[in-house]
Amino acid sequence: MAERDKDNKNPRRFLDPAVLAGIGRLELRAHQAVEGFVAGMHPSPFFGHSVEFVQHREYTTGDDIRHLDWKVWSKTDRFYIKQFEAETNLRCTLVVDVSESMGYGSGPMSKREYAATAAASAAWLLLRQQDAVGLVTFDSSIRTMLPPRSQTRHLDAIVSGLANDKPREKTDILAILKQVAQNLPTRGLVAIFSDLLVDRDALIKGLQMLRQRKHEVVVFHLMDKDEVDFPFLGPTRFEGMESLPDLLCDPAALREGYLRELDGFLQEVRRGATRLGADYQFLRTDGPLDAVLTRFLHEREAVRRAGPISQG
Amino acid sequence: MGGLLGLFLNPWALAAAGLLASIPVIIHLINRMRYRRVRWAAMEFLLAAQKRMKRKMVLEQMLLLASRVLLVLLFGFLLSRWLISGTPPTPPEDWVLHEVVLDDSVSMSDTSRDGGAGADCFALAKDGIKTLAEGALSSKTPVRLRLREVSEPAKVLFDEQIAEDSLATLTGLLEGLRMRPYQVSPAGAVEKAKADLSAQFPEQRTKKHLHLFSDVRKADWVDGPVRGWMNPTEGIAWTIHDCALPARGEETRPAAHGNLAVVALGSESKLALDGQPIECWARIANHGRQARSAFLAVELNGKRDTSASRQVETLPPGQSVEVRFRIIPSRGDAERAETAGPEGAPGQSGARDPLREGLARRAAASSMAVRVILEDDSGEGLAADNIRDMVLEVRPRVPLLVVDGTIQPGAVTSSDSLYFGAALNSQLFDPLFVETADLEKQDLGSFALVVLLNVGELQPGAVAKLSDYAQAGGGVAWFAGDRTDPAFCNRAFEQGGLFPLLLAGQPSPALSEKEREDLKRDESPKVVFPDPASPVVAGLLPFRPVFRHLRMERHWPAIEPSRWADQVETLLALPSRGWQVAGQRESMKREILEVLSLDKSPFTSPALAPVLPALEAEIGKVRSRIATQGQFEIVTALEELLRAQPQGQANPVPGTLWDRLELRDVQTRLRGLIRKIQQGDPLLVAREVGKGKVLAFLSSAGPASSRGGVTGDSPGVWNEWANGFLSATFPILVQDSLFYLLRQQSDARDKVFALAQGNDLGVFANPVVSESLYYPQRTGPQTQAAQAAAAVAKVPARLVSSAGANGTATWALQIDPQEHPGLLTFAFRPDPASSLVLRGGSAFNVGVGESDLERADVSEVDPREAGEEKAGPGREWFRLLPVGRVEAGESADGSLKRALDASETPWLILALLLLLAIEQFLAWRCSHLHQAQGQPAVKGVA
Repeated sequence: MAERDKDNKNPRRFLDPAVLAGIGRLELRAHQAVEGFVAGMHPSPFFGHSVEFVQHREYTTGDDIRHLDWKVWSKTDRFYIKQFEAETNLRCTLVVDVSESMGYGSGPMSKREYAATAAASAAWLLLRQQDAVGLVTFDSSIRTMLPPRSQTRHLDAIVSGLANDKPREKTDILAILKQVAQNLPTRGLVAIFSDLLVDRDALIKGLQMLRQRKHEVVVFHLMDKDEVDFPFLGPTRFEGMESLPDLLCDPAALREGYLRELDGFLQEVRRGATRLGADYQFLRTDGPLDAVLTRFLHEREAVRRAGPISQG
Repeated sequence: MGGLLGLFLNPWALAAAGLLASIPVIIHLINRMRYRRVRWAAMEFLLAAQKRMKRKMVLEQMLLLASRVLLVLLFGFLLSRWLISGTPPTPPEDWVLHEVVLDDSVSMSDTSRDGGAGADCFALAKDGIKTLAEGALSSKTPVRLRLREVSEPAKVLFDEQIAEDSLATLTGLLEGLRMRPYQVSPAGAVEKAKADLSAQFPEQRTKKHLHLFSDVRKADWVDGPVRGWMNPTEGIAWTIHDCALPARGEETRPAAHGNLAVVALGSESKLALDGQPIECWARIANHGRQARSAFLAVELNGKRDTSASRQVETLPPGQSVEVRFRIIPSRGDAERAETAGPEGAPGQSGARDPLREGLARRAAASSMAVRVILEDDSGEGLAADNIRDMVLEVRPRVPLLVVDGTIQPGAVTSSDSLYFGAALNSQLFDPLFVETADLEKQDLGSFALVVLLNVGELQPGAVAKLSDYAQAGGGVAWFAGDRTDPAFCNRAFEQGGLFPLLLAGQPSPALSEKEREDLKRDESPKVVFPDPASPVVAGLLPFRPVFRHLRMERHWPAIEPSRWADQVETLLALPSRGWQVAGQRESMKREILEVLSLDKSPFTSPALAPVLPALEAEIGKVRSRIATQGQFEIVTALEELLRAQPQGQANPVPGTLWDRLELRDVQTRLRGLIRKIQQGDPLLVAREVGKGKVLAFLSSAGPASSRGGVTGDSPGVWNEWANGFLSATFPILVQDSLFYLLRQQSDARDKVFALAQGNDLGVFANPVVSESLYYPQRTGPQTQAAQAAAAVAKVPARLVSSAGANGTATWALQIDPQEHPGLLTFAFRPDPASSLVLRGGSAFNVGVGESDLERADVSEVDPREAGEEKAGPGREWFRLLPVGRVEAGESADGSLKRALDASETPWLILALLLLLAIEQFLAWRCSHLHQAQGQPAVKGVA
């Protein structure tokens, strides 16, 4: 009982997709996931404001009022906010696949829900650090495009953008990524959440295009556990999504071949991504979210060390 | 197709397997229709895998399906018992069929004591059947055997193919079979067996054998139809297995065991009087070929009567001997007390109730069981026919109903009744005198005899009662007179013979005074004795010389003798009047001389030469009397001639002169002449009617007739027998006549034992049985001890009624079938309220037809034509063998060449197991379960 109570009170439980699936609202999920993630970590210089004050700038609508310098207001009667050293040193664009194939799920969350949760959690994590986060969702075309913003309330827009009631099949990933690259004026971090069931060559070219524009690319390759394990037994009629034909077969008989093909696909994608200098992270829908969030932290740190401060 | 099916012992199992082989395919097709649906994103990998592995998958699935189909087919081969080697099984129409008939009649109990073996024919027969079946077991061709017994032809005891297990069943069945104490011919069972055998598989290719295991007695074959049923064209091979002892050899007529049997047991009278000795007789037959002796033990009511029992010293071979013994019956004190009841007496009002009196008379009778046991130390032959029972009715006196047609109204008796009653011994007879009108009211069954004195026409009801009474065994005596109605008597003759002959329309005319005086002076006999040896007249013979003084004036002449002479026994006759006519007299004399002419055959035969001188001397005496003497002297001379037995060398074989074949015809003609010369109208005649007898005295019982009789003339004397010079002989006439009527027919009441059923009780209101006892006849080595120890069995009895005449109910007492012959005695009350006890009894004896063990000659059994038996193989459709020598129907070479089927070879089973293992391996492989467990799905993806 004590153990259960302890488990029930453990904020890291919200990293478990099964637990997260029980939370209906994506925004709340993201909050809980991040809280759970943060709770397990040591106090980190990665979070919060940098203690090193750099300069003032005049207040504009949307700036966090916690950073208002009241002393300057009392003297000048004008609002100025303080800028710290690491405050806006990351611009991240979350590219989330919301196509039909992402709708498959055998567990508590479908791929789409997992991707959305992961993306929302990452967005919240970054927004808490006053990093700028943008969103692009796509299926057959770009469905949502939100420029990166660092306000915490930008999370609402991101969460709204992640909802896609009528997913369609993926068609041209190269065009999608090309459009994404064109709409990112400055370099930043591009995190792709997708099952990557697309043309591999087009995918590689798309990633290459992003890398050529000096973006840091992280590919979160998301697949359902059944797609990974293929545990099916007994005669099954597999009805293909995204215009692929159906197949009636004995899954056990095809399992070996399927896994071989899948493995080849994953190897190809991983090699392609790493060859281009993109980070590749394979995710299962039954896996915890801390892998995603940890990855984002590492990227944030890498970018912070590498480049100047980015404006908020 | 037939050839193909012949390769399997159970071809239908193969057909079933063929159908079942489709099940794996059907299951596969069903499974293809039963699947779940999954919306799948990573379809491209699945399609690629399917494309890559399709060929391998199909191959594996086809192998699995083929192995399963093959498994089912192989299992089907196993169940259908596919013939791997040997000869295919024979269809039933090619089997060999054996119909076996076992004779279980009582003659099969003949036992041989040779060497102390003690086996009986029945046991030998059973062993023979077993040997036959064992021979069939080693036959190449399947053999089917069917067994039945002679006593129950329709009941088949065994009907199976001979195999190890069925042979054991047959052996057990044979051990349990027992002989029946029945007399039964094998003909019925053989006929039924032949019919059943002929009906099965009419195709000629079926080999059919009919076996009869019997003792092949001459009595069954000479008169029996079995031999006529054997016909070579019907495709049945007949084998008669002779089970008799000693074993049949090559002789034409084998020797038979000599058997002594009590073939008849009777008494001189069907009614015995309490305390009065009665003569009984037992006829013992010696069916052997050697003279034997035996001891005849007599038991009365279960107790040995030593005075009646006797040693029979000489029983000649092939003959039967009558052994007479005398017993004194007794009713017993208890039975006497039971009959002394109020119902035996007239009512208080004095009115006589004939039915109540009848019941009392019936109750006065009791039964006495008489059993004779032939004790024979030889131990040879049958024991069942050494015992015989009879039941005697014992009464204190003979109840007698006298119907007097001349009793005047208001009178108790008449002249005829007076003289008739006086002639009866009151110690022996209990008469009841009634007038004619009362006849119909009487319970005739309670009387042993009915006497009709000078009655006229009787009412139809009375006639019917009398007829039924006589048919059932009663005795009716008619005494004629002037009231006798010839038309009525002649009608009674025509309708069943209640009156024994036909009467003329008028009696003989009354004598004139002169004729009467002439009659007094006539010294010739007035009555002749056609058969002096008859027991009716035996008592009168000593008085024969004085019968010339008897005055017989009137009588009723008989007419048309051709219509009744063969059936009627003339006991007394009036002298012939023909001798008085000169022409007839001379003609008869000439006829005598002609018959006795020594110049003609047969006296000229050389065979008579040794006795001719003696014959000539005797014939000379007759010739001398013919010339000089009268009618009766000539008759006497002829009778003396027929009794003549010259001694010494003149008659090499004393006592057999007139038994010579050459003289038989002369003897017959002489006897006819004697009758013709002396015998006129019959005076006292007797005739058998049904089980009873009728006797008629054609003159009056008393001396005078009544007025106003049929004759219409004045009263006169008909005869003076009852009151004249010979009046002392009248009681002899009356009593001997009555006892003659009581003398029962031989074995008239003997019942052959088949199933002891019971007795007819008669017409009663609602009888109640108070006792029914059965005394079984039990035979054994110690017959006397066995008899003494035989428990008297109280047998359950049922009363069964059936509709009788005039709406009355006739009751019968039935008992359950008994296993042994024996005696039944019973007691019952005519109705529940009655205090009277009526007793009865019956004897059930083994039929005498089984006693003669004489065996049939080969020619009496073998139906083949002379020389046919030598015609060679294929013509031996008949065999007569001693039991135990049988041959198997087919080859008995001992080698078992029957078909070997798949179920008996381990290779097929091994192949089945191997295939099963392969199928399981393929099934496991195709399930891919081993791949689905414990392995990481994708490399590097934990």
